[in-house]
Amino acid sequence: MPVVRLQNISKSFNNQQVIDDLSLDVHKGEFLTLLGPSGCGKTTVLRLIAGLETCDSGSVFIDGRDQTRLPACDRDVNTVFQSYALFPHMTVFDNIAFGLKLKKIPLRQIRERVKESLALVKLEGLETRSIHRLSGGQQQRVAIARAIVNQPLILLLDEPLSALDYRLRKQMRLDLRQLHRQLGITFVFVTHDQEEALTLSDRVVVMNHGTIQQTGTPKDIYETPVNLFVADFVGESNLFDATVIRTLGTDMEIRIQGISKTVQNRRGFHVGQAVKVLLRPEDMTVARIQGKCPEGSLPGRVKEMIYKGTTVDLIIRLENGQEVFVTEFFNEDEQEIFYDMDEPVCVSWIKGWEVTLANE
Amino acid sequence: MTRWLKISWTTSVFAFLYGPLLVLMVFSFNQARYTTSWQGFSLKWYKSLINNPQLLDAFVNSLTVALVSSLIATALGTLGAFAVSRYRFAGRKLFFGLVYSVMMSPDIVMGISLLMLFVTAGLTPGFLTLLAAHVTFCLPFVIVLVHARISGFDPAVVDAARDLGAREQDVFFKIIFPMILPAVLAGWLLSFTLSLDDVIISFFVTGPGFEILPLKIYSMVKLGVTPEVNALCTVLFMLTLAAVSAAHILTKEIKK
Amino acid sequence: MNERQGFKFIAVFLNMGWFALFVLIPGLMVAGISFMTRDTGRFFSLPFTLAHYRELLDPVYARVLGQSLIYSLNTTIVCLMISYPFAWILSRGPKHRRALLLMMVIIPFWTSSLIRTYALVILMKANGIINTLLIGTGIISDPLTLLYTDFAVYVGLVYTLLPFMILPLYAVMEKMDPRLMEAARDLGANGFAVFFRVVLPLSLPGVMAGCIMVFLPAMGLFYVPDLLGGAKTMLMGNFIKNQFLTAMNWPFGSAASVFLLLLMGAMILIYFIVSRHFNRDEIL
Repeated sequence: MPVVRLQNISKSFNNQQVIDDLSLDVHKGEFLTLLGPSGCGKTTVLRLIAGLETCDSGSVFIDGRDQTRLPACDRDVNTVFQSYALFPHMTVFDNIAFGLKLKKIPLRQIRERVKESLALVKLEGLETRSIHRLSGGQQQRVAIARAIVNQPLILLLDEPLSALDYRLRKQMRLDLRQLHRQLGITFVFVTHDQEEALTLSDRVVVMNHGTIQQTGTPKDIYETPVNLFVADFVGESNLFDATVIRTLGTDMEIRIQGISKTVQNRRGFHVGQAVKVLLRPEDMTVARIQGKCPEGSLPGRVKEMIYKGTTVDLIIRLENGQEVFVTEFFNEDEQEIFYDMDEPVCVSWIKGWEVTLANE
Repeated sequence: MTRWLKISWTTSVFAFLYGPLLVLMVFSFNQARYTTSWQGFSLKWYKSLINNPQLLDAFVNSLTVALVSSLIATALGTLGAFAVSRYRFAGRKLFFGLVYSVMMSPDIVMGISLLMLFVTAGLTPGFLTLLAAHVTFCLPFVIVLVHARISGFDPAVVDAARDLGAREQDVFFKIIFPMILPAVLAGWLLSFTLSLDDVIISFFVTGPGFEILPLKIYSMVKLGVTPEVNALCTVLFMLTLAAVSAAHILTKEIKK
Repeated sequence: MNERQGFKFIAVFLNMGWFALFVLIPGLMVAGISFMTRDTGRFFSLPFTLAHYRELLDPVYARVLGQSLIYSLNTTIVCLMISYPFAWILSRGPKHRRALLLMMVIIPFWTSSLIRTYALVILMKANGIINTLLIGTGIISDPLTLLYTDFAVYVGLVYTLLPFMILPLYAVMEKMDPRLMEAARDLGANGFAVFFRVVLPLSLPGVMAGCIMVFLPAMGLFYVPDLLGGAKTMLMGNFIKNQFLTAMNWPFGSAASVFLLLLMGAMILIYFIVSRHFNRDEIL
């Protein structure tokens, strides 16, 4: 039984449809991320689970029970807000203890549990500190402690890392993963940062315009996106226009920028269909060839080379003007990884490493 | 050179602002009747102040009006500020316009307009008309102060409280009220001061049956000064000083 | 959420109601009665007439108006001259001292101006402090006539209204980003240029706000000329007071009040235009 089931949820604000007939299951104990651009409705979904908003139609089941009309204060769900929303007139202790005090838990127990929570977020000893004297990172941890101290069924996190600087964010990501494992409860995480989504999650839900585009593991989302939006939103991608010329069983021959190439036919494309071929930068190969490019590879010239330590990024301008982004791993054996400006090269890829999608 | 200029300019301005008041306070302790000479330190004018029933009456009246009107204005204004920041309602912009227009209007226009209202309505000028007038000019200050405070805080804080299990009344008493309290108190103190010190508006809306202090001082000064006025002014000034200082400390709380 | 609706309704209703009753209606009355005819029995009656507005333009009354405007204008200018450097110095001072100095400006701001005006009376009387000191130290032999003069009225007005000019100026100057002046210097501006091209334009909304807060009240503070001025000194405030309490001419008094309100409206309009042009911030 899923710990959260959203069934045909719809929600609109000011006559604008924010969520459109959305259904989603959240499995017990998983780290689920809602990923999408701003305005796609992911925060609204989170708030619907929390009970801070009520859907116009559809149902919200939490732990098997219909809690669609149940207000936030009665749900066994707690939220970590994007702005932290710490109570400014209270100390760290009072902030964290707030939920426990409302449940009329005896003070001694409260003290112990607050201490535990602070230890979990690595902020031991800061009970009496006023929240104004905390750094951004510390405030964020207090916000997390305040939520988890209540031992909720589900922890909701609304872009909690967006206000932190790069290094803190990377550190916090690891800390969050550790916390998830330690607590063993379900995390539902909202972000627009696809790197974050891929790093943290067991499953990712990609959203756009109030609907779910794709649900799957990070690997699924990255390697086999089901449509152009997901393909483009997650990771870097090179997109090529092509037409199917021949079908050959599980493969097909396509015409791409004037050359023919054989690729896999995973979606039953037929002859004459316009398709888009997607290739991740690390899946492309670059070769220095004198003279004409061999069959199945695209000629071009090196426009930019960026050395990044572990990798070398190349921007290659193909004959038809399209720019391709290629990432090559630095291979110690191959001494000649450095290309000259404008050097002629041939770009290709290994059959099966591409993703072909219908041209929408 | 510039530093000397800066210091002397600021000192001169402060001297100008406080000089006359300090002189007034000093001479309230003067043994002599006239300010032509200093005849030693004395509290006799304060004593005669206490023994002057008319003045004491006026003082009590002023305090009563100030206390009641400031309490009403604070309660009403806090509600108003709350409503204006949380809800959208028809005439919200008009409301803001009225609030600011009261703050900006010359006292004399407010005074005569209220006079006309009360007379036309057949009311005798007295405690109630005075009270209504005072509440009216104090309200905008409370509303603006409390509204500023409410606008300053993160709306997510209320969500967080609900998320953690708070019901409507918990939200108000445990979260919202403590947060706006400094502004509410500051608003109350400021209203109290404004009411205590008002001259022009009170001039038009009070009647002979209900004397208040500023107007009593006014008539005393016009008719011929008795030195008790000095003592009286000093007392009023000290009250204002206390109220304003307290409000200032609270307003600093607001800035946090 | 019915509890919530009820609460909202009461809060809004009470406030709107109060303002409607004690601000909107009296305001409308002032406007309306200014067009009525004078009636000694009932204070005002139909028919509608513009007679009182025409009366305002009558040389006798126009003189009073004009004189009052001049008093206000001069007072505003003097207050500005004194306050501008003062506010500037205050706003550039060390942070911890600013709060204290600001409070020292705020205290007279909130003190009853009647008390402060009376303090001036003590100082300026024929047997007042100033004369006593000057005669006592032998600088002069006869007492100066300071009281009951135009000079005294000006001192009284400036004294009362000075904090009203300081505070808006300070508010604007405090918010002024010092980096703007640094940038100007970096681009080659000397002291004068920095002032006239950066500081002054940016402070203009504060100047306007201060002028409004001095100019308008200066026209209405009737007790200042009453206590400090001679028989001839009459401000708009005195004039309006007379119309209502002595002459019992409500429509005429209302017309004069409307004039004052229009003046206020015009100044606020100018303020908005100026602040929008020079600076996005509005402090009113």
